[in-house]
Formats: sequence, C-alpha cells, structure tokens
Amino acid sequence: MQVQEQARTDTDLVMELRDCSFYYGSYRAVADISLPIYRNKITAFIGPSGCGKSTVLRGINRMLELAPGARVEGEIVYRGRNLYDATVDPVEVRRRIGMVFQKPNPFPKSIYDNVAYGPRLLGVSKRNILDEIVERSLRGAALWDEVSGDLKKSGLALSGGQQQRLCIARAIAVEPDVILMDEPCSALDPIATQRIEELMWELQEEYTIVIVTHNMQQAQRASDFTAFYNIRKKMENGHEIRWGKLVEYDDTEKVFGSPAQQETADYIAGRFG
Amino acid sequence: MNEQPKAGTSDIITSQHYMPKESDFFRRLEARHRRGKIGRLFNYFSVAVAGLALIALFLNVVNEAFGTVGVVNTIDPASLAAGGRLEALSNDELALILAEHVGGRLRVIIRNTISQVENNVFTRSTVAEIVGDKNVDAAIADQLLKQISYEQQALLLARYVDAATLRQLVLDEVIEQQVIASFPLVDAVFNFDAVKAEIEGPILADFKKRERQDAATVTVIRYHSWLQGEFLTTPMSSTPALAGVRTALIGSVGLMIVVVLVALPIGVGAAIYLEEYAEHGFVNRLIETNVRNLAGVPSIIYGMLGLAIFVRALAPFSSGLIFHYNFDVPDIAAVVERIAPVFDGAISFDGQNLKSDSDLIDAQMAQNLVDTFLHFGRPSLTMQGNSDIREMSDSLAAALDIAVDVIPARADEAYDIDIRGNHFRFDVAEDAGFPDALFDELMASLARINSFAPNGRTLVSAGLTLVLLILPIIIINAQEAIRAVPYTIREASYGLGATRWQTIWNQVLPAALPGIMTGTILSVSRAVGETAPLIVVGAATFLLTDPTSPFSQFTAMPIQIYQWTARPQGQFADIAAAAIIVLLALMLTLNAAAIFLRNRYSIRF
Repeated sequence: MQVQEQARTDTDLVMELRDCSFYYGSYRAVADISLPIYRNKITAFIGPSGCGKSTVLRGINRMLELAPGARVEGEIVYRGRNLYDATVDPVEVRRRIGMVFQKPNPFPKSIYDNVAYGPRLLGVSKRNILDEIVERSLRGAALWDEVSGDLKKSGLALSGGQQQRLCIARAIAVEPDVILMDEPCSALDPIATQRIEELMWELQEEYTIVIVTHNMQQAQRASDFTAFYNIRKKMENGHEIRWGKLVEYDDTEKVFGSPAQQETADYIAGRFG
Repeated sequence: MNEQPKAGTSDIITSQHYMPKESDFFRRLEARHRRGKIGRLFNYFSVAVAGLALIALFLNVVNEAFGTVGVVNTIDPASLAAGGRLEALSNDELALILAEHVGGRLRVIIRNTISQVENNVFTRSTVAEIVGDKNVDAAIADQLLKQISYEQQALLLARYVDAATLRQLVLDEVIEQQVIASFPLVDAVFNFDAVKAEIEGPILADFKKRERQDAATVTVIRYHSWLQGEFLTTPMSSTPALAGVRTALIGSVGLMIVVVLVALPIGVGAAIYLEEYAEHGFVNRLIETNVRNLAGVPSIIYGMLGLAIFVRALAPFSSGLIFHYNFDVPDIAAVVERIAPVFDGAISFDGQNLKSDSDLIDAQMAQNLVDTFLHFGRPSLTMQGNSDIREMSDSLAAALDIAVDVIPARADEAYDIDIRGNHFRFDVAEDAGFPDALFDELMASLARINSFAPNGRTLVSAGLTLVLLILPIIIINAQEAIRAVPYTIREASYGLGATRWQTIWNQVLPAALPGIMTGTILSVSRAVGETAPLIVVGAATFLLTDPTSPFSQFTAMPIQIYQWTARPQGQFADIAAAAIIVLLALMLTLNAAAIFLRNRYSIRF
C-alpha cells in the first residue's frame, strides 16, 4: 500500500489524509485511513456498500459533520493546513473543495440562478460578471450548448444527465480547487454516464477530482488512482461490529492489473460485494 | 411423537404447504371482497353525512337571510301620490306633504339639513341667517323660524334641498316605513299567500293597536334580501333594517392584519429554530410536545390569558397610552370649558390669559385650579387605578386656598360624590366663604377627568390573543413545511460554501414558503372565526365607530353574529344570517387563497 512512483513531488500533492478515523457518535465507521490526493488527477474510491468510502469523501470537505454526532479524528492536510484545525472555518473548506452528489440536486430555481448561487454567496453581485461566470461554468460542464437559449428555465425541468451537469457547473462556478463526486452517475443512464466521464477528463485539466463509484469499469476507465475499501467485522459482547478499512491504494492500472491484496483481486473479479 | 419444525430455524427444509387450498382461497376471497364492500359503503355514508350537514347549514342560513318582509307605512303612499309614486311629485308638492303631516318637526328637520348657524343660536336666528342667503324672500327674511307658518317653512326647505332628499324625508318622516314582520325564504316560496294574509291581517292590526297608527298600511315584499350592498357599508344600529356589519368587518380585517403581522414571523422563526438549529434532545422534544399540546387548548383559555396579559398587565401598551395615542391630554381651553359652568361662565380663556370675573376666585386661583385639573387629567402610564380622592380634594382645596375635610360615607348615608362605588362627603370650612355645592361640583368634574383613562380592551389586545391561539398551529405547519424540503437541497447549498443562515434564507425558506403560507392562511381563517377569546378580551358588542388604529375599541364579525342571534326581535336573526354569509364568504376567500398558493407555488422535487 505504498505509493510506488517516488518521482512525484510534494508540490503535486493537494491533500493528504493521515491516520483518519471517521466516527458517528461513538461508532467508528472508518478506521485509520492514510492516502494522498494528487493535483489534476482523478482518484477513485471503490468498495462494497457500507465500507465507508462516501463517509471519507464527506469528511474531506467537512460535510460529514452536518450529520449529528459525526466527527473525524486524525489529520487531513490540505495545502499545508489541517482542515480539522480549530481555526479553519468549514464554510471556507467547502468553498474550496466542492461536491457533486449521488442524486442530481439542482435548486428549485432557474438554471442561471442555480449556477450564480455560489458566486452570489461569496458576494459577487454585478450582473455582467455573473453572466460571464454562468456562461463559463455551463461551458465547463458541457451544458451551455443545450441550455444557453433558456437560462430562465427551472433547473428541475432538465433531464437527469443535464441536471447532474448543471450541478457540476454550479460546483465549478465558485472556482474550487478540488471537486468531490459521490457516485455522480449512479442515477443516470449509460449515455449520460459517458458524458459525465468525458466531462471529468476535461475538468481534470483544471481541477483535482475525487470520485466514489460502484461501477468498476468507470473507476478503471476514468481514474488515475484507485483506493479500494473493504468491510471489517468483529464480535464484541455478542454484537457484530463493522467498520471500513482502506485495503489498497495505487495507480489504477496497478490495482486493476495486478492488485497487491487478494481481497482486491476478489472484489474486482466480482467474487464478492 | 411428531417432530414439529421450530419457528425461526432456517435450516429445516420441508415440503409442507402453508398457503390455503384452492377452495379455501376462493371462499376467503369472497369474504375479503365482502369486507371491502362494507368498508366502502361506510365511506360513502360518512361523505353523505358530512355533505348533508353542510347543505343543511347553507340552506338554513340562506333561508334566514332572504325572505318575505312586511314593511309598514304609517300613511298609505297611495293617498299622497297617484299609485304611491313619490317620484312623480314636484319639490313643492313634497314640501306641502311634509308641512301637512310633520308640522312642528319641520324646524328640527331644517336645523339638521340646511341650517348654516350653530345649534345653540338656532332658535334666536332669523330665516336669512339660517339659510345663509340674503336674497331669501323678503317677507320672511327677518323673522324667526318659529314665527313663520309650516307651509312657509316647508317651501323654504324645498328651495335648498334636492328632490331625492325630500323624497327620503317624506319616506322617513311621513310614511315612516319600518319592517314589522319577516318570514324566511321557504315561506316566501311555498307559503306566500298565508304569510301575506297574516302580515296584512293580525300583524298589521296588532301594530295599529300598539302604535296607535290607524292609517298605517303594509307593503308585503315577497323576496327581500337582508344581504345588500348597504349591509356591508353601514355601521351597527338598534333597528335591524338599518343595521350593517361595516364596523365588525373592519374589526375582523384589522384583527387579521395584526395576527398575520405578528404570528407569521414569530411562528416561522420558532419553526426554523426547532427544525434547523435545536439539538434533537430532551429539551427540544419537550418543547415540541408542548407546542402540539397548546394547539389543542380550548380557545377561551387563551382568552383568559390574553385578558391577564394584554388587557390588564400590558394595558399602557395595548391602550396606546405610551404612544399617547387615542388619548387627548386636556389643554387649558378644554379645562376652562369644564369648570366655567361651575362659576356661571365667570372664568374665560382667550388663548393667552385666564380671566376671572367671579367674586369667589381671583385670576391666580383660577390658574391654580386649571393646573390642578391638568395634573389629574393626565393618566399615569402605570394605569394602577386612578388617583386617590383625598389627594385630589387636597389639591383642589389648596388651589382655592380653603380647608376641606374628606369624609368617607357609607352607601346609605348622604354623600356628595360616588367614585367607583366609594362614597365621600366634603366639608368646606365655614369661614372660607366658598359654597359647599360649588366644591362638590368641581370635585365631581375633577374625578371625571381623572377617571377617563383609555383601557386595554383594544384591537391590538384581541389580535395578540388570537396570535397566541394560532401560534402553535402556525409553528407546527411551518415545521412540517420546512421538514418537507429535501435534505439534498441543504446539502447542495452547504457544499457550495453557504453558511447555515444563507442556506435557510436562500433555499429552505423559499422552498417551504407555499406550505407555510397555506398553513398560515388556514389558521388565520380559524382566528377570524373565533368568538370566545374575543368575548373574554372584551370586544364591544355595540359599536358605531370604526376602529381607526390598533388601539381602538373594536368588534368583530363572530361577536356581531353572536350578539344579533341573542336578541329577541326576529329581524335580528335575519341580519345575523346575512352576516354569517358575509363571514363565510370571507373564510372561503381565505381558503381559496390558500389552495391557490399551494397549487401555484408549491415546488415538486
């Protein structure tokens, strides 16, 4: 579970998780995660349901703590600062590390207002600047050509795939550094999925992407690095305790071509999970 | 012994069938369908009962609000004009009818209609002064009104008012129309002949005997509507046919405004706190449970609460006193007007100087007297009752430079003044030379100006009481509306770096607003229909003046209806029915607005 390519330098590193454990109340959902996230690369989290990959993803931009009782132990170092330092405002973290969710969730507002929402929160109010941001973000999310004629239309009136691209446009409108994607294609049909994947490659030029996916092919096709999580169980006082564990992290080619762990090989081959 | 498979063990594989056999299945299927049919019949029955109740209510109200009336004329209009058509008569002809039948009342009519002089000099004014016209007929111009004949008076009147006013005067003063009988719509439709005979027979005869009006005739109007445009625009009256609901309608609308302005922000604020901020712990659960319980508390109990808090404890606020609203602090002129009659007009005030021509007091004493009145005429903000009678008496005595004893008296003894059930006698020292009776009069006047204090039984008190009443309902509704906003919307907003308040204000509230508005409108329509708390809080039952501010006395539609139905005269029941229709229309409008808002603005995610 070591990063093989020693050639990578620290400047390529956007973020590093160091011995992070994720808790819901007293229940430790994911234990001792350490992994690097590299600049302008796509990192995929795979693993069976309940292994905690979404929990880790939400921990990265401090969305996790919105759930009552959720907390993180350990350090997530982002550009030299621990995100969980007491002096760090979660609002700032979320503005720099954007998120796209499993189910497309546009606001019940016009397409324009959906994209302009983030910039407005940050205090951008000049109409011409907003216009430019909206156009650039929609172009960046490959949606401009489809909606440019009718920006006043409700975001909810779009198709599922379009809605998800609108959510991506909304996320990149605040010019984040990292984009977290939580199973962004699980609610979409194969054609819409393909478009999102193509979009990810384009976005990679400018942004660092972390994606959680259930789709093995997607991870293999789209990502540069893959982290495989699995579930651990033990009996305690007659109850079964389950928690998630990072099994293997490496280049995607390596993980899918010659995994170091037997578990990984079994999972990829579809023998469980 | 047969080995029975133990329940819950999964490793037993058995070929036994547990499902019923074919024949059993069909037998049971029939029973299942039968039960379904019974259930469905019961549902139909329930809907029918509800529908019938509604129809019965509506028919009953309509039955009362419309129907046959007997309008009695003291003098048959046909005897005045051909076919009873007053429109055909000229002004002079109408005037002569007035002169013939009204006689002495003509002077009162002239005073009330065309007089240009003050009422107190009316009897001493000449005709020319009264009509304010130098070119009036020279023969009567310099006469007093009582010196000219009725015909001359009537013709004078006819010169200065238009035909419509004259016709109305003839109707009111000569024909003296009034409703003596009313019958509901059902009788008007199915039983008109009998009703007509009864009105024209025994009811008219009874009226003639009672009022000693032998020339009275009755006009029977088969379809009369108590609900007319005028009904909405006229204030209360003690004559049913002239009464309207304007005061009550304005009161109800005013209550509505107070309720919405206060209950909406507080209710939504509480709901936001409970849903978005509060920790989901014991305290929160306790609060929510209590809010739900409060929604079920009988409204009269809220009335008691409102009486204690808003009417009594917060009286300086709810009476408008701390805003000096609704209360004229007496000025010198007003005080002089009060005390001058006591000294036979010997005290006067010309805007700057106080003058006294009385032997009893000099100018300085008069000034002291006025100052005393001004002092006690200003109610205290604490509204802890009125000033002590001894204190007032001492101040008054000091102002007049005399010595006075205040002697509390029992009710059966002789007393000079009665203040809130307490009796007092004032004993002015003999050597002061100030008449006892004058002092008593001054004391009574001072006590009156002192006891005039605005009270807390105002529109704002009642509105705030209704706010308490519907606040739990608004909170529960708003909570549900906020809870119905999908969590994904909040997540998306937080994910873009929004703060909690930005998320609530920009996403949660707009999405929840249609639900909140619907709940609010429905609870406001409940508040508008409430009677019990308003009675407790002290809505006026007979009010001629419209409320002009939140600190005005008020009455409301349900109070008015309640009041009218409680009266013995039959026609009040008819106008109560008409008022019920107005109230129902108000409610239906509110509910329709709620449905419109829900359909038009609700967001489907």
